[in-house]
Amino acid sequence: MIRFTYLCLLAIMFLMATSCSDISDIKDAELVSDVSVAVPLINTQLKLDSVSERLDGLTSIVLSPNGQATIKYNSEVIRQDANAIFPVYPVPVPIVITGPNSVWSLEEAAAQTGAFANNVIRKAIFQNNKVFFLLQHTLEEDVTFTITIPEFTLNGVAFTETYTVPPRANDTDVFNTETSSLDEYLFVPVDNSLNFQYTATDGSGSDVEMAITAMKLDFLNFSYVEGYFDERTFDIQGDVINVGLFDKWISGGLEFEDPKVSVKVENAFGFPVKTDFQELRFTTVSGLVYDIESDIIENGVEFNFPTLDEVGEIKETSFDFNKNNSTIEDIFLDKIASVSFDIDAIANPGGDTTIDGFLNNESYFRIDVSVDLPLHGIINELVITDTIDIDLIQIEDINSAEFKFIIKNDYPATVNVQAVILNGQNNAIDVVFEGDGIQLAAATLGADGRTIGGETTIEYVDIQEDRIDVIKNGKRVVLVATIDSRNVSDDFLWFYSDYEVDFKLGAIFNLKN
Amino acid sequence: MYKLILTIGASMFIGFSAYCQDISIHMMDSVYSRIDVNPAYRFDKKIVFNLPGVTLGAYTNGVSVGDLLVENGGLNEIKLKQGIDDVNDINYVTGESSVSLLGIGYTLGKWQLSTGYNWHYKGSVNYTKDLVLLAANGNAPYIGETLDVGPELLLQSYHEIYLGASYQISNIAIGARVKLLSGINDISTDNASIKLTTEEEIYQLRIESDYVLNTTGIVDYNGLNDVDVDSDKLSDELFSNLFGENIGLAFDLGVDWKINDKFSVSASVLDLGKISWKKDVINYKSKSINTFEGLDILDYIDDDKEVVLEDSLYNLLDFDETSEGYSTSVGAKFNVSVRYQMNPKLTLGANYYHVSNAINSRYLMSVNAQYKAWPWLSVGTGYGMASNSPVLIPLNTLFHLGVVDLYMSTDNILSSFSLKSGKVSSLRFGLQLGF
Repeated sequence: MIRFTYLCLLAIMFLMATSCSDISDIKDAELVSDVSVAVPLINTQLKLDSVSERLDGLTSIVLSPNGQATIKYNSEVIRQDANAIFPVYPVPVPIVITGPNSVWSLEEAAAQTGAFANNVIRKAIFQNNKVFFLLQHTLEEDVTFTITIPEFTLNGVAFTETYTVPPRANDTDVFNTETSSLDEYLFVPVDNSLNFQYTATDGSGSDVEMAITAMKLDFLNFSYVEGYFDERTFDIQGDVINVGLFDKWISGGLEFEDPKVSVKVENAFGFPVKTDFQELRFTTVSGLVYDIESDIIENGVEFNFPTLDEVGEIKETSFDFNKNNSTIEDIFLDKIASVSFDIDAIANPGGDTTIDGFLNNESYFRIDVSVDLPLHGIINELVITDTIDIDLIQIEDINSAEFKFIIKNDYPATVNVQAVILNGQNNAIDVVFEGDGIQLAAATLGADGRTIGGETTIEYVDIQEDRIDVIKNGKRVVLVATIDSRNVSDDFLWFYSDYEVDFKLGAIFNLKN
Repeated sequence: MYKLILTIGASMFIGFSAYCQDISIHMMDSVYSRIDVNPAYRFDKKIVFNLPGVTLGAYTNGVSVGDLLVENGGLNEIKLKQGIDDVNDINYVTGESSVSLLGIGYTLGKWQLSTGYNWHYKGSVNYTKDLVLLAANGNAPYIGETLDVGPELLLQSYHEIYLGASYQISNIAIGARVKLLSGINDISTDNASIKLTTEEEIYQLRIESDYVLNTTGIVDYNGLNDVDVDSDKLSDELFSNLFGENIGLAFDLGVDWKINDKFSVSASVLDLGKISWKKDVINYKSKSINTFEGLDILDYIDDDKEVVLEDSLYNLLDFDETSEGYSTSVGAKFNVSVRYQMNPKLTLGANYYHVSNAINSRYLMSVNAQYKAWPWLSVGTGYGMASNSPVLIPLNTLFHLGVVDLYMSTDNILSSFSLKSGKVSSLRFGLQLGF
């Protein structure tokens, strides 16, 4: 029995030892997987309105109520604010008050500040201004000094301040009064002049002759000015509008029925302003330059403006260069890459000084220029291309792949797409689709010029291990698309907002390690 | 998620985590630890000190690691495809290790009182055949189908302090134990449904989830590709939180009827109770239907954001995070056994044991023979079967050396030949002093 017991114990020890060997087998084992993963890659419904919603740059798509689409290439916004016309003028030197009832001509102010040069101010309201007075007398006692400026009123009450002026210590000791705010004071000059009326009395009430009397304004700053602001030209910096339509163009044509350059002006200044086009120039993808011909260039266009009864309102003026008033249609027969313009704005054209205009601190004018291309055209074997950098390191574990394309095309144009993969030396190493590429049939055109339903194309691309090894060296993919509407119709056709390219792509990847 | 499953799986194997189901311990008359399977069992000494002992085990009804192991050019490879045919619709890998630090038994007339401390560490993963198919083949072979891939998880550790008593009434002994439980850490699922559908058109993916993962701060979920299991916290707190915030209570009840001098029948229900988890609780809940139909190119128009397909895939399963306390059952067990004493040296017996934890259950049954070769040596073996294994050969040895009893047992000596292919593996050993 003892032998049996020992045998059992030895057996248990042996079993434990062999178990440890088992665990070692597992620990050293390598996990080998061979799985096929099916994933959706792209699922996009390309509609003009959904594209439009996502565009937030200078390009937009405008849809008419019936869904007709127009691409707008916009310029940067051009805006001129009130301070460009009537800036804040610093008043560097004190205005000398020559006597108890003295008159100061604004023409003198023009010499100091420029604020009144060729401007006629008929009414103004101060904003953020401060004023104080420099005073001196020769008595050995305090002098009471009271000054009134009738042209400065607040709620109908003229500006009046009283100061106690102490004796001077010496000739250079000039007393500076406390500053007073002129905020909201109405300034109505009489005969283009300002009146100062003051009294200076000693302790017994006797008049005192002042040695120095002057007024110091920090700025001439108005929240509202009424008057005439001279005929002047504002040099508005122009802009270049890039028309991206042909950025990817290779060959073929795209003919638009009614291209336009639109100008929209918002104006809150209360005086006439007119355009003066210095330049409106079109450059093609090949570098040719066209200058547009139009009466608008010759004559300019006057902006609408608010009257004195419409202070605070914004008036809009819109006009465009179209096929009826310019040579734009002929220009757009070529492939336009950019439009450059330079506009000046002429204020008070004609220099009529009797015009009573206004501006306030919220006055501005804003000019928006855009190139409008209604998607109403003919596409003639248009070939476009794009090159995209790719990094295929991530496909290292992919043994083979099968891609499934499902594409539905609502547009009245056939589309043919091919993709070519290039290596680092830009040599083609793989053509993705067999033959000429994926052929997307055009949708059928209805009697009303709209398409009826779309055609669905299903295409599989099988890429086996040997091809994967080649593609892994790819650095760029060149996409080439050929689009043609003439096999649907020779007429101009509209692209509507509800037209859709439903593009779906899924893939099955076989992964091995 | 797979990281979490692997962590629990690895914890079970590293910790040798299944619990010993003790299909032969009822035959080892003098062993104090028998009260772990039936509190009515009585020891034959006035006073017994149960010294530190360990119980270990691992169980699976699915494929074992050995089923997946392939030798290729002298190298071992694990191929998931290898064992697919043996995978059940629902599979489990489960286990428990426990350490009995100290137990004291005292006989007081017809009463026998016991008290002691045990430490428990258990883990379990239930996984579906669909999950194995997905891992082995990918989803491409199942286009147009729905796979149920939600795993049920359990990783739990707790302290147990028990107070037990048995009372002899004529030839019947009845016993009960009350256990004060103090939870250390827990990862457990409540609902565990995750259904993955791959559509036929362009393989659009849909995940329908009704899944709740409760943890005590040891899991940080930030997406399917970013699941962090705080293994430091798991190991650092292995023996902490005694009388902490995670308190539970459980009961054992048993009866042992000695029908005559040779024949006896006993039955018990164990671990009727639960632990309430309150400390550092994080609940991850997902009840939604999410789909990924492919990237919309329009989202990238006039946008510099990088096109990353993986993010969309990983976000298919999204969880809300809450901090609501929860409770888990300890896992009730039911045991019934009979013994027949053929002669003073040989005892025959049979045993049925049904065991469960919070996420699965199984049974074991056995016929046993215990031979007392000498007063100082008793050896037992038999034949058993379990819900996951048709053949178990239990083996136990008990040395009785004066006041010292040394014992060891296993439910299945066959698994010792190959841990990597065995489906039931267990080991119990211990030491006790009896006076």
